[in-house]
Amino acid sequence: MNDQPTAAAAGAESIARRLLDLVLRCALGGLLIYAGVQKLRDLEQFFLDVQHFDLTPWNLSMAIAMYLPWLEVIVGVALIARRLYLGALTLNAAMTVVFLGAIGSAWWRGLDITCGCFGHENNQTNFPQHLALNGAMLAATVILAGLHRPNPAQRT
Amino acid sequence: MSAAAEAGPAPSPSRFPFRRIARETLLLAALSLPFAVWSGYSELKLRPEAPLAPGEVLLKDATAWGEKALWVDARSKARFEHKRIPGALWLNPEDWDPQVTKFLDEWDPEKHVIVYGERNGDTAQTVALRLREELKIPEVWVLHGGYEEWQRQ
Repeated sequence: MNDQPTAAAAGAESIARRLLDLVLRCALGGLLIYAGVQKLRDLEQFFLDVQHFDLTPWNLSMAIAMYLPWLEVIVGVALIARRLYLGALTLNAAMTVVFLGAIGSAWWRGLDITCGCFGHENNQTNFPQHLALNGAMLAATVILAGLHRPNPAQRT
Repeated sequence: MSAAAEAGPAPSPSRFPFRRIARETLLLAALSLPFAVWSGYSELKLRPEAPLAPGEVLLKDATAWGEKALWVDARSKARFEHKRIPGALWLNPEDWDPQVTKFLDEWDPEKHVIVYGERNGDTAQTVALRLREELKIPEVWVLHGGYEEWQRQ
């Protein structure tokens, strides 16, 4: 008889987990797709934005400018569709860590740049704001990875 | 024999799926590659080279002037201080008067003045126009492609 409230609580927890998973996946995936599409609208400008970080030689900046927007779009779609999911989470975490490093290093060096994160902006990048956004994206990725692990209660 | 025994040993739930992560990561990275190649091809090959605007000079012609060239950086001060063409002077409309004095100290009528800015900015054109009109310097050019062209070469 005592099993009924426990089952109801487990059901409510499961629904909450699924809802959180859906919201985070769609938000993160949508943000990645938006960022990728904005960059694809002007790849030449994005290449210049990458160059302004002064971290990569010309050829590598060009390769990053051509590759990164597509990777963001494909990872975003994979997250929303929940296909190749662990790979998408890993790539998203890797990209976010690289962005945090690049933005942090530009801030530390006092560079007058626009990061090109969501397409070209006319004003200088607000570094704390971008670091906070990337930190939030990394946290969301970690939460999604945690939610993906099977619930110990469901294993038995 | 029970069904569980027939299925063999169950995989440990705590085992970290390294192989699956590696496989999926590589697959996603590979999926992006053809699109990136297509983007690169269309950007590099299909986009027509921007025509030379009046008053612009190509980098190869500007560098051929050698010692007779006076380079002027029209970008922001932070960018100028971070990296610039060797020997360039900073001259930006935001801080015009004090910088123009320094410019005139370096200027020689025998020299070609080459102003450069950002690739897609018009600050270099503004500075060049002011040098021509306000200081009546005839030999003022704007570097085609801006500082990025210099970096690329």
